[in-house]
Amino acid sequence: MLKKLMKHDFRALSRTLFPLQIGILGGGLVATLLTALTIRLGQNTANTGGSALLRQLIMGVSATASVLIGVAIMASALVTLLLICYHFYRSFLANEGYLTFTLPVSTSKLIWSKLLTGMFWTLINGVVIMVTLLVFSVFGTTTDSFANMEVLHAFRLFFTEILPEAAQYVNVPLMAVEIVVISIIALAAQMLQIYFAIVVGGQVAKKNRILAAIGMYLLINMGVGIISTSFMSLVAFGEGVSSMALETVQEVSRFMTSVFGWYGVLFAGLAVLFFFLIRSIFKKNLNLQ
Amino acid sequence: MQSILEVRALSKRYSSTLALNNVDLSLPKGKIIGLLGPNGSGKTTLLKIVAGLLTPTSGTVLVDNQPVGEGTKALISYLPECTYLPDWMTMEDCLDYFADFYSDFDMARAREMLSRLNVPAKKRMKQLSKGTREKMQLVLVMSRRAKLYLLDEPIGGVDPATRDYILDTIIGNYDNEATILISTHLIADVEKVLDEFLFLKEGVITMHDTTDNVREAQGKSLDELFREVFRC
Repeated sequence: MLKKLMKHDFRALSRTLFPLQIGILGGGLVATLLTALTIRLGQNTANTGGSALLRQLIMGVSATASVLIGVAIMASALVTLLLICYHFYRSFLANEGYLTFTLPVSTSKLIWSKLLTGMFWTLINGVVIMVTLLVFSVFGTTTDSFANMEVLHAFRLFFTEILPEAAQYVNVPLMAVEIVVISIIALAAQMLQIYFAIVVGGQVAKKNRILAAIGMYLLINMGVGIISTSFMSLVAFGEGVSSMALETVQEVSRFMTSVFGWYGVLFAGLAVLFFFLIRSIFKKNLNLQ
Repeated sequence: MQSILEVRALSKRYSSTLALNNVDLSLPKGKIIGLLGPNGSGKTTLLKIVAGLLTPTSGTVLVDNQPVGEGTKALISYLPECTYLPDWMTMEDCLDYFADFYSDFDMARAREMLSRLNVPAKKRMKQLSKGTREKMQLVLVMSRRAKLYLLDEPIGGVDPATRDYILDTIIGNYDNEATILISTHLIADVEKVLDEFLFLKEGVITMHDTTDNVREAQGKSLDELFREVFRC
């Protein structure tokens, strides 16, 4: 049943999120072209008179457009998140809830489906933004050639020199895996925290539920902040910060690896907590009005 | 007679309002039963609790001897008062959705009924009129081979011709083994199809009888009895 739930959730989200991602890539390409044009026109200072005025006008328009597109691309992350949250809200707390909650499916599977599809689209959005920025930095920032060789060189440097250098002190593959796993757990925790705020907002308010959800999110975030700070302070002291033992690169890298691990534990704990809180409200206090 | 629905000492309170007050109820299998009462009497609350959309304040509900949950949702086909199909879905999406989740969904029957409604297959729900969406919901709900149908005000706010269509759809697709619980306050329109009725007043079941008894023993129509009992 989880597969079927995900199929329909994916279909519902793809309707808006797929065109949005295509729009980001398209917008990124346009911004890249406009920026490249602006830079090239800016370099050509030989012309004077009317053509110079025209050139400045084109430069102004191009620069403004590329900045606006850039801002829109960055804002798309927020739009993606909002659309995912709105889908969750509609599925559970609006009229669609009558359909969702009468399905012969366990409450846990309902939440899992929303979580996994939401995470999937957030990750896709992240990849799309990164690809767009990469294309922009390679092709939109060069003055005299098709691609910016400095950017490509920096990438090559990272893989051929910086990573091998770092490998002398830290286990790079292990750390990479650790960062990826923790990022995924952190994303799950963050998404469940938002879902929980939406559910609680829907419970406490009969009207203006979205506003109530935002208020709840801010409150919950404060609580999470306090818990995280307290937990990580304890971890830091436990790991030897207090004894000032972090003198060598090896000690610092060991400390960092350990701290990352504890962050993973913290995020996993928060994710589990929010998951069961949502499940408990749906199972024991569901009051679909 | 085996019962499909058992409700014991069921109460539901919304802050200061007691919507259901210690309701006891047993519904037999294979009957069409009217849940009748004025607005605000607790009809929708009762149906929502049985459907698993509301948590009762106290009491127990058993559907085919199972407490309300994942198992009972497979047995119940519920039609709410509101339109609940997602706006973006087309008719095909809706059919696919029901077929995916309900093993008792009769696709051929649903298609046959929808073809008579002339619902454009490619149009999204938001492009259809409210009336068409309501009819589509009814078709989807009645295309299931469920054990218990919960229909909340299926004929409320529709014209007489649509009322006939709805009642014909309900009767035409009703399996003799199944029970249909219809909530309404439009008694005259439904009484001809009812085997039994429940009067619900201020959260309390005040009467549960067969429609034949009312006609034969009291010499009244159900509509007349309703007007008498619920006179303001």
